[in-house]
Amino acid sequence: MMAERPALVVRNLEVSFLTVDGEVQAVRDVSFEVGRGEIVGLVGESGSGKSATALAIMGLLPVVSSRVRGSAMVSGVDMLALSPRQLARVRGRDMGMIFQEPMSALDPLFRIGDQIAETVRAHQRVSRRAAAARAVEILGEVGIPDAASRSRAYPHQLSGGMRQRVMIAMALVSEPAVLIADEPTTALDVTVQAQILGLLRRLSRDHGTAVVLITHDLGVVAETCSRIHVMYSGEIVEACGVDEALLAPEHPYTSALIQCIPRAGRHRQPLHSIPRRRGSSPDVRPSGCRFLPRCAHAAEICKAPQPLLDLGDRAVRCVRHDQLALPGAVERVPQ
Amino acid sequence: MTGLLQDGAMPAGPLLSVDALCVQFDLPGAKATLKAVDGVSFEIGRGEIFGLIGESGSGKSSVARAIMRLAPIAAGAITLAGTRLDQLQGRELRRHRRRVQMVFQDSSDSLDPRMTVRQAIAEPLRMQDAPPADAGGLVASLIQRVGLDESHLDRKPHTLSGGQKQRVNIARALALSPELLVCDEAVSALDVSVQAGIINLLLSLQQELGISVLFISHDLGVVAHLADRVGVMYLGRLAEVASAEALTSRPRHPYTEALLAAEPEPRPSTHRAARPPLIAGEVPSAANPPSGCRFRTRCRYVRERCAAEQPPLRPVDGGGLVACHFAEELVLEGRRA
Amino acid sequence: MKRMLLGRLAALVPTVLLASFVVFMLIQLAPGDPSITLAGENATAERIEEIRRSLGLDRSLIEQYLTWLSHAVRGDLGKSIITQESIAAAIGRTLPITLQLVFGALVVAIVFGVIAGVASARRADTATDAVIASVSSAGAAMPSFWLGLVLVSIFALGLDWLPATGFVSLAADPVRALRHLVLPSVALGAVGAAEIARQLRGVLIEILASDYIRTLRAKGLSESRIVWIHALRGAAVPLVTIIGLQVSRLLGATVVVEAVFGIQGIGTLVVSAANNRDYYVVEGVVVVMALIVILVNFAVDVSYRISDPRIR
Repeated sequence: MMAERPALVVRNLEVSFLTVDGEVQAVRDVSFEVGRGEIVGLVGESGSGKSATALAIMGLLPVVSSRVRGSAMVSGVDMLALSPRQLARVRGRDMGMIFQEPMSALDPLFRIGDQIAETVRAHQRVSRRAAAARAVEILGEVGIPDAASRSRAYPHQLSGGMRQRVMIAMALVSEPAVLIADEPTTALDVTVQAQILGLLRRLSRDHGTAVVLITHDLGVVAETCSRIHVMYSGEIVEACGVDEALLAPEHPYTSALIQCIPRAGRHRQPLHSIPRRRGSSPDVRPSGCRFLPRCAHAAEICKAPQPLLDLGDRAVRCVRHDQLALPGAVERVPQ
Repeated sequence: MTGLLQDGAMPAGPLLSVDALCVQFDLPGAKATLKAVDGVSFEIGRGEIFGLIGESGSGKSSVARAIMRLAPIAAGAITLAGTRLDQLQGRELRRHRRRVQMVFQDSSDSLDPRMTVRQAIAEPLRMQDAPPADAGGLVASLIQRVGLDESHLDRKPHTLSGGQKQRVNIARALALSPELLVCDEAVSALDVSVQAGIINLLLSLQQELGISVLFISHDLGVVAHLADRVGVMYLGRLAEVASAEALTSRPRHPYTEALLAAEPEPRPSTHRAARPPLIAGEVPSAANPPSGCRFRTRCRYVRERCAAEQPPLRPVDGGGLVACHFAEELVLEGRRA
Repeated sequence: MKRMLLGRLAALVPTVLLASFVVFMLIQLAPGDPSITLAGENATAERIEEIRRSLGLDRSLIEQYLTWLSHAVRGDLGKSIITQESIAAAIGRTLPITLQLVFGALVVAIVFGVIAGVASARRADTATDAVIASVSSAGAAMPSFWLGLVLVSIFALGLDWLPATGFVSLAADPVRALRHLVLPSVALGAVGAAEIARQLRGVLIEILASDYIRTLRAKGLSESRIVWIHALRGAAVPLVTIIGLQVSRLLGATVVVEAVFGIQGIGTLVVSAANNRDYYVVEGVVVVMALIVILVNFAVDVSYRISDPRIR
């Protein structure tokens, strides 16, 4: 099954932003791949570089103030090597993207059906009528009731959940191989979130779309993804199957992130938090392990640069990973 | 419970009692009113953390604002230890306002960027009729109480992280020794690792100071972890009130059940019962709510009576309160485990 | 929608009334008197007083205004005290000339303003942007009459490409009319173009940084479609507002440009009437101008509602 080429292959992605204080690195040495019909989670907190990774792959970072290196192959084409004109041609056709705020991500002045039809006509030579029909068809597929009349609605006339469905319809109307979903349910109510995540799973399965799901929420990853990449301070610190990560995390940050979340059966017990050690400055990135200033298991050896260790079915950026028995999301039965 | 309650010196009765509260807003343009809160009653005991949960349009924030006298109260009573907060005016209102303090979602917007942390925390003290003699000492003890140290006092808000700013907001709220702390989505904008620290702080404040907290959030996991009792709101009304344990393990209202089912669980698939979402569609408009039970349009147990008759919030066996005609008959599933 | 429009239209009536009243009072406050002009040199005080009485100028201002108003609402703006020409006819003769000039200036302002605004917003903070910015601030700083004189001396007197003065109606001979219209339109529209470019740049830069523009890029639209269809549509409301303001400004500025190019428009009419203290001509012209400005503002208001579905 995995013999076929993955839909998305990202290799050695580096992103830096040019600021008044000089070049600031946001993403370092990020590599991952997503197979057809697979949903992979990219998880991290604010400043982890997960959104910069997504925007870099889509070529949506500002040209003048950012620098992107590495490669991102979609259907055998390196997105990062394309000219702006070529990029416009593949965006929306070979890869689509949906964003966190469905409120502001749609053009408020155009009917939703027209916005989708416009996407169709940007990539295919079809008549206006055919594009409009395709828009209604895909609106129905993403679960918008009465799609023909709703296609004439303006974004402000729809609820947040409906708008996110429109965004998904627009991103998938040309059946791209890859969909990047950047915090697609963060702004939505929890009951609507469940519906949208279910929709993403169904569409990915039915159309073989490779999905990169970017989120801060481990619960969302657990319910949606097969594999997880945990990012911290611009680097991938752990990459493995979702169940493996939740059962037996090997990077202290992954484990700490799991312990921060309130969990049934521990009512009113203090939660684990990840404080910064006194005296460490948030502005200075250590040359060794970047998690070092907040790690409960830090040792002298962690001050050396940390490569991403390939353990076969898992990769971990921690030299001490085999010395630590880190807690996961469920109590481990003593062996 | 804990702390001051065990002293036995406290007067009996709840600290805060909200009775049949209605909050109405006039809709601009259309000559209509929006009933954001429609007959909500609950009590918060001394030293209790009461959680209020709901989705957008539930009216949970309007309840908080009404208690702070920041929203128009159309009907009902809000009583804080014998004082009718809803009837206060002018001077009296200012005098009693200090007894309830609020912490908001956006930690940055609540702080004046030109003030140092010290000035921000001391500001409510200066506004008092009789400022305390040792304001400086009080500020120093407050900053330590919220888990920061005196080196933070001379910094400006923009040099602090989101979590640190929220700690400063809590310190400022505590400066006037309020009896009730209202937290409106106070941890929602924070990263989980930071959010955990604020939750721990609120728990320790309750245990050590005996302060009561109204904790409002859309995140059932956080509310259920922190609160003694939880109220579930839907479209301006309370659907269910129960202890956090009972609510999550044995919900009595179909909406609570649906919320629990929709909550994404960070557990491996081997430890998680996969269940389809129990709820379709989205919350109807509060400007034009359904008749009878407000949840009936999305309820999978809906019957004829639900449209005709509004279910009152009533006690059921097990100690909770439920607004559902069929609470005794329904067998609802709790948190997935 | 229809009721709203009628309501808004009805609300304009008091505005027009107030404008006519204020102007009536103001002209009469100015020193000078048409009776003196009419009586000629060396007239006796009695003679002047007689003329004053025959013109009704001896009555109270309020009385005079009410008399004027009672005629004006019936469409009778009276006669010129000096030339005895019907004021309505004088305005009918000169207004189309001025409107043609204002229209030409508006086309210049919009075309150059939008092109320059879009170009500098797309290349914000580059050399192109800086060049456009300095050209447009120069344009905004240049007085219309001076620019008119410069244009005439280069393109008419120097190169002899275009006529220096005069006016031809578009209806009569479009080609000759356009040749005559080019220089005065540029002279009058340059400031507007600069203003539109500057404001549009700011609005577009903000729009181009918004979330929905990022979505449009993500779905693969060409950059020119994003800018010309989506971003410009988003800028429609502020753009129409600026254009509306330009119309009022152009109606005022046309006075000087008409003088430079020897065009017998409404500006020329009002200037000579004011010099002669020909009260009713000035009053008639100002009321008509006020009416135009108010109607333009009304049109701007209506276009907001059409261009933004959220307030429709």
